[in-house]
Amino acid sequence: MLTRLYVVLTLMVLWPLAIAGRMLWIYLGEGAALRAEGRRQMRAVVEIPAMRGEILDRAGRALAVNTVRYDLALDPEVEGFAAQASAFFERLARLTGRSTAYFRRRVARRASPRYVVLWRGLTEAQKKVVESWEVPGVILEPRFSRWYPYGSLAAHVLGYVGADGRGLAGLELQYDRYLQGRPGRRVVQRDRRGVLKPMVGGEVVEPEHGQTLVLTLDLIRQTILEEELARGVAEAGARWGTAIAMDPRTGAVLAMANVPTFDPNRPAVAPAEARRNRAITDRMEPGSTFKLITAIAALEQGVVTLDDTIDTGAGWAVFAGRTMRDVHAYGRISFAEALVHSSNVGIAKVATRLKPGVLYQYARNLGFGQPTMIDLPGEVSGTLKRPSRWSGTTLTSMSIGYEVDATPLQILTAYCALANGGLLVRPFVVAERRSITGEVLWRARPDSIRRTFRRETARRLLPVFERVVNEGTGKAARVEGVPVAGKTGTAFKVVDGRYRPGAYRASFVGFFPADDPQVALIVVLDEPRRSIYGGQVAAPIFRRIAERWIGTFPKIAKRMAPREELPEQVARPLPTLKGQPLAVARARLQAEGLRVRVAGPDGALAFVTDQRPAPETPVTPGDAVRLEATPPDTLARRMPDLRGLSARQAIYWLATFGVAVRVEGHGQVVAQWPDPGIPLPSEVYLRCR
Amino acid sequence: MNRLRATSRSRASAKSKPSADRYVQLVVVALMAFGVVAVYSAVSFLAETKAGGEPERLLLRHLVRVLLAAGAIVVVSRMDYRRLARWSKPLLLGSLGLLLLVQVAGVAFGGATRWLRIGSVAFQPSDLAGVALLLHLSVLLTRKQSYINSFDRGFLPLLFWILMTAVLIGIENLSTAALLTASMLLLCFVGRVRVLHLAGSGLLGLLLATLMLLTSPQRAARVEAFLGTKIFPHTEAEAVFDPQNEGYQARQARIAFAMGGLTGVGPGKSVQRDFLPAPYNDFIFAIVAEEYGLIGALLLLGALLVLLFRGYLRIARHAPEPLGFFLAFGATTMLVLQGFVHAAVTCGLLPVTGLPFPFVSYGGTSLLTSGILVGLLLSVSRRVQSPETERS
Repeated sequence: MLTRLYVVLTLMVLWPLAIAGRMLWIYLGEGAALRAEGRRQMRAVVEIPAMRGEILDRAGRALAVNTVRYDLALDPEVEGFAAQASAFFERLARLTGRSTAYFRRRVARRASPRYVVLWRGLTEAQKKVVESWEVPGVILEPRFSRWYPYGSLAAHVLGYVGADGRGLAGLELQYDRYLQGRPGRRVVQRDRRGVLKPMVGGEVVEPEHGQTLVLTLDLIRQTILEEELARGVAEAGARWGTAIAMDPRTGAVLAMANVPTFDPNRPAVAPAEARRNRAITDRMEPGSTFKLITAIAALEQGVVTLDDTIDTGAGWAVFAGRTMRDVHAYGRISFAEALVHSSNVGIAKVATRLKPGVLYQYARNLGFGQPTMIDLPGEVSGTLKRPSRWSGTTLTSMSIGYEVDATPLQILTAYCALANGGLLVRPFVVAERRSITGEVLWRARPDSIRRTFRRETARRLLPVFERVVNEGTGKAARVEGVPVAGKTGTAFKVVDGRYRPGAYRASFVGFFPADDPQVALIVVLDEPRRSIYGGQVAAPIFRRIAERWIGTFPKIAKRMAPREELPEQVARPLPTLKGQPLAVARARLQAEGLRVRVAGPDGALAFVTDQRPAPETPVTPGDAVRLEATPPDTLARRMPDLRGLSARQAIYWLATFGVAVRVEGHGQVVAQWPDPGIPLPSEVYLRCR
Repeated sequence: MNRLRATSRSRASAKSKPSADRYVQLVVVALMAFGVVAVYSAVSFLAETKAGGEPERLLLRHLVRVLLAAGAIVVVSRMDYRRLARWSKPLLLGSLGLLLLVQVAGVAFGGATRWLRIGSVAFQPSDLAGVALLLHLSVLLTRKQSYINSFDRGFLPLLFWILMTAVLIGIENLSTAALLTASMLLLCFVGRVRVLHLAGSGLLGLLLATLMLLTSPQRAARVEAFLGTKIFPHTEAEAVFDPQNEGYQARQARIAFAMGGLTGVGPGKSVQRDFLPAPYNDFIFAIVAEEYGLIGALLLLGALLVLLFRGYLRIARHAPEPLGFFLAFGATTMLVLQGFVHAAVTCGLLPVTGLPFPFVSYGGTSLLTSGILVGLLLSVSRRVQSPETERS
């Protein structure tokens, strides 16, 4: 028995030897390959999304922010869904405004058996509602989306993003690289079902959040410009209109708008026409506004002085077999007067004295035929014919703004040169790029491309263009108290390669104050019906914008202080002021020239509780507005919904009410405690992402 | 001085009345402790689906079972195995009856009906049948020592019980049956059964196993995956590409070994537990090798070796009578062989089967059975005639 026991024992001892041998064999033989395979199958790389940078106006007001939206998806085959299906569809229909049939159809026609997206872009509040239904199979997927708090404001400048969060137009496209940031990644562990879980010691690359763009645009000025442009376009019955304002000294775009416009929050519902930034993408024959270039060339070349008389005859002349007409017959007038009254014949006659190619050279130097290099996508360069391709009529036609194509921005840039004494500036929209922490990474440096004509020439021409406004075609652009220089333009419109009778483009371009230009502004209307003349439809828009803008330029407003009488008193609807800080409401009313009377305490933290007259009542400057105010402690101030705001905005807002804020994370507020609606607490907790 | 005297007194008392073998107890406690730690890590994947993401709940279940097994050890080791042996036949018949019952009322688990459910407790009667068979064979071997060379009177009855049990278990669980048969044939070998008889029955066993392979494509596929070639006509070739197939498991286990290296990736840091099926049970050795490396794996095997040497050379050899010898040998063989086969399977020396590692794997019946076997071993060790007493 014992012998056999030893035999078995010996056999048994062989096992661990064999196993240990086998293990060594694995390590030494295929160990490296197996380890590589093991690492490969266990690792997965997950992207950490970077937050898109915000777009702020000149004063830091957010024009484009990020919000969390939720996609509602459904797994209709989850146990227990079928029982609640009809109730769920009905509630969803009520929530979204679509019919129950729509959702039923989506579920019925789903491509994947266990997944169908029913609705995109639920807000936080809507998401909570859906969650409260507790329907099995409902999947709510958070998604960062872009939010433009002011809707269509500056839509053409801002542009919009696609569903994937990439910029598709405007600044969103132009600066996509900076706005987008770089997503981070995290190495996670993956099991055999593909389920991911965090890996201890897994490599993590933090995302690089997108940069913040600070624009040269100003929210308030942009609003005014858009309001007045829309109103002017409507009044003139024009097909579309565009307006751009620039600081002629730097090239900073102060405002830029087009009508019709669109809501970048929902770009798809607007026609492509409405999404076009015509200020830089539409080229047109400028017409009379181009006479500036002829005047500069003629003066600089010494072929004429402003006081030389020119015979414009009976208001028509024939150049190379083609007749050119003036609106009126002016007879013998000075060159200056030819400009003031926009005499085509007079200007063309002077142009014939120029050597061939000189007008081309000046136009070229002033930026025609080449893009302005503004930092917006889609800009066209227009066309400026080379002298070698000129026909017999080109010189005289071009001298009055035909046979040359330019964008409104190019024309404005040329007038900026007049305003700043002869320098061609590069227009720009983005003033700064900042990191998410607010550090300035890049600052736009105003760039004058070249000197295009002598300062002396500008000095001599300036009074002429002031006269255009004071006594010439641009009288409608006159602003009381502020000298304005400018030029009207009325051009035949080319439709399908030929001039269409009755179709015109009316424009007015100018700057103010003429003696110290701070704003250059162009207004272009397409096919205005009330009147075809730029002086009658575009100039008033210029004036109304200028009038309302003056208050936003302290330097201009100051020189207007000693004025005796108010400018033309326009009745405007009174804005809703209830709920606003008293200081803000007061400033707004005063800017409109209204007198403010306050009932109740007038502390720094007071709030407007009521106003008289009621909102929307038309008021004219000088009218009194009575505001009732309450200090915040007696006013049952409610906790607002801060989600979607940037942390900075939320903190700023809360700080105004003396509320302590505790913030977790940075970026945009995604959650807040307490919930909106309860009386404002002394401390608020925000979570940002 | 006092202390010295006290020690010598305790040694004297140990001489007069041998207690349960210390080394065996130590090894079993060590294995259990090691098992708790290893299972805690290995169940994490299972926990995500079954225990609501809390591996602690499964760990607790394992702890309860370990305690149960410890209880079984204490109870059985305090029993007199000679009295237990009197009931060997009814015990064996009873467990064979249970095995039959499994066939009738078995609950399907993981592709094989091995479980019997009584109330909320499910267990595998096949393991208990093994213990009963060991008990009965030890009794028979003791009784037949004088005519053990005879085939019909000596070996045939032994073979009859082995075959009965092996077939009934083998219907659903070939690997357990094979392991049991091997252990029992070794027992017979040590019990002086003629080598010719054993060789003959070994051949018979191989024949039977082949028959069983031919009747089950699932089983055959495992063997094919192990050998790396297709030999059976009734297996499906696609099985090779099935992530659940046996080739996949063997490869994942090998990756675990490779990842572990010499010192392992560290406790609880196993990655392969997510890729190996039933890592807490059938592949616990691979998980140990991954987390604790070659060193940990060798420690585990070393523990089994201690058990082997103590069981064979200390307890069996010095057993007071043949019955004790056979029981001690058989119990040791069953335990140690199962552990070695488990380890051999995980590192690819044998085809993939679902054998637990004694005291380490997560699995109630296995723990309980192992506990009973150790209990038997310790029961024998209590009556061991120590070399000192032999000499005196």
